[in-house]
Amino acid sequence: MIQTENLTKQYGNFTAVSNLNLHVQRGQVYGFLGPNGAGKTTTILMLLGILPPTSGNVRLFDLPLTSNHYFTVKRRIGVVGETRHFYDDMTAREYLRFFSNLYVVEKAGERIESLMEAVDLKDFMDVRARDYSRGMQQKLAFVRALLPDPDLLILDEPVSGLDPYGIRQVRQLVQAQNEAGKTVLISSHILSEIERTAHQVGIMHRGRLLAEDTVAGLRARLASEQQIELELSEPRPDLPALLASCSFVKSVKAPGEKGGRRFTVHLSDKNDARARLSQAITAQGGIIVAMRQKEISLEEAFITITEQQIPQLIGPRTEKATP
Amino acid sequence: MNRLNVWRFRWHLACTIQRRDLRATLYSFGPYVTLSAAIAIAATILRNYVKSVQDGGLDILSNPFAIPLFGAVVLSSIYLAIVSTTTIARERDQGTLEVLFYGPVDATAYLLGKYLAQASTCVLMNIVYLAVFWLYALVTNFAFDPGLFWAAILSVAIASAVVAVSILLSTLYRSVRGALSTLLAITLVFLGIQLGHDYAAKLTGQLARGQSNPLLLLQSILAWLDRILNWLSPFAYLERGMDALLRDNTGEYLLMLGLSLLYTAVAFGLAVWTLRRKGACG
Repeated sequence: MIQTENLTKQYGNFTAVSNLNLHVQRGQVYGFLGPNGAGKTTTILMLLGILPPTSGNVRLFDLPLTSNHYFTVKRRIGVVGETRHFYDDMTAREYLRFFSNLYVVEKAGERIESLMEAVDLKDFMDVRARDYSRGMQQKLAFVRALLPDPDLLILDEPVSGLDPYGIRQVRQLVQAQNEAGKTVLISSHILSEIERTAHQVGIMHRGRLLAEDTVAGLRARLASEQQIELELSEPRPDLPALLASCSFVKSVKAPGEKGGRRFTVHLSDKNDARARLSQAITAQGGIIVAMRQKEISLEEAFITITEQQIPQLIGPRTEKATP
Repeated sequence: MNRLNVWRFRWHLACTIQRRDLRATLYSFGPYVTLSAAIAIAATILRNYVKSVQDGGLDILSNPFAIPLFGAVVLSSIYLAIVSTTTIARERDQGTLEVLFYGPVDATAYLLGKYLAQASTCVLMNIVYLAVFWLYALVTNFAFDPGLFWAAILSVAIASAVVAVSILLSTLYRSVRGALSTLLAITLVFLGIQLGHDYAAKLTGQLARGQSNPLLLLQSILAWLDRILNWLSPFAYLERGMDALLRDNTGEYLLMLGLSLLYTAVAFGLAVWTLRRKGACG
């Protein structure tokens, strides 16, 4: 669906995007992550043909963005960009009519009304878009993006400026679009949103794609050791020292929560040792009431990757993984 | 999409953008202020002609509406130049240009839309000028020469060239201020050369024969620049074209019309190239 080949953008000596090889499969929700200035927006602008790349190629729907395919490709894409500017003299209805004409949307009036209703803006259609609140403008940008019933949605920070209700509405819209078979490329700083919706994530830092995998795949790759969180039926201050002597245990941390009933056990290898750990605790007379394998969150993965700039975390391409 | 369909769709996009921009223009004060000023200036010039006829009994005028029309065209072109220069730079500045390019709009369609909007404004303004001049002709009893229609057609071509150059300037700058400053600088340089040449010619005319003076060198440099300006300034084409109409020289009129259209095409092509190269967001 989206494929870039050694995509590079340079401004003088500064390299904004370096040899980017991005692959987004049809039907995926692809989370595009990176700190500010990582090159995400520059990449998106190059994908859309708005910014000419210094070198490299972009293919969308297996077609290059050349003059013969430009309009065919662009009519199949809906974009909610970082820029959300509207014409001062137009009402929301006029604005959407204008874009419907550009995209040649059939039955534009009905489509505008149904989309505005879906985002609770139907009562504000004849209000000037410039008078909308930030959240309403964001929703209007979403409606504009959905007007042509696009096969590919590119969303750059789609939930910024939205209240929790608005965030949920956008999430539902994204999920509904994806369930309808649409591909979504979503760039966001709100990692919990990406974690909930994305099948695949790509992490960019300083113009380079440092990691590309499923969220689960990234977790697995970054977890150098297993961590098990334990909760016992009653406090056992002696247990950490006893467990630490086991060969498969690297260390035990007792944070002192729940009156000394909770421990975090770091296992010395990646193999599943929950059965052996359970046996060791039972042998010491401990009663386990909860045992949970601690997973690295996307936020932790993101920070680890971008801070340490871990190279070569480009995982296998998945057709459509489960988030 | 084959090449024909690409151009068909591009034309559709350009017309959509043109309609939006024309609507925005018609809802603004600018064209009405320009029209009022041009009509008032024309009325003043014609009033002077009438007074001259009343005082002298007879005045020989090949076409009394030629100078008022020339003034109106210059004024309209300046207005259109300012609007064209600011409109794209402002859209880039405010981010609406980037949003347009999120959709199926490319540099050619966008600039063609902008150009068509200004060109259609110019056509509407010229229709108003012709209607008002016809009324003036009824009131003053001056002959309403059909040649004015040809002059109006030429003036649209001239205004098109001005618009195309302004669009080119607009694609070069990110800010409205930068684009407008360059337009002003170019206008001042053009005016400076033309007025400087006239003034230097007047001064050197007063020198005694055989006298050597640095002014002569300056005058020859300015004369040389003025000759170049005759090919660079669209208003020089207008002057020559209207002069050709007064002299019934159809060949030169058509040449000026053709050159104006070629001027427009070259400036427009350069604007498209610049916008493609720079991208819609800067």
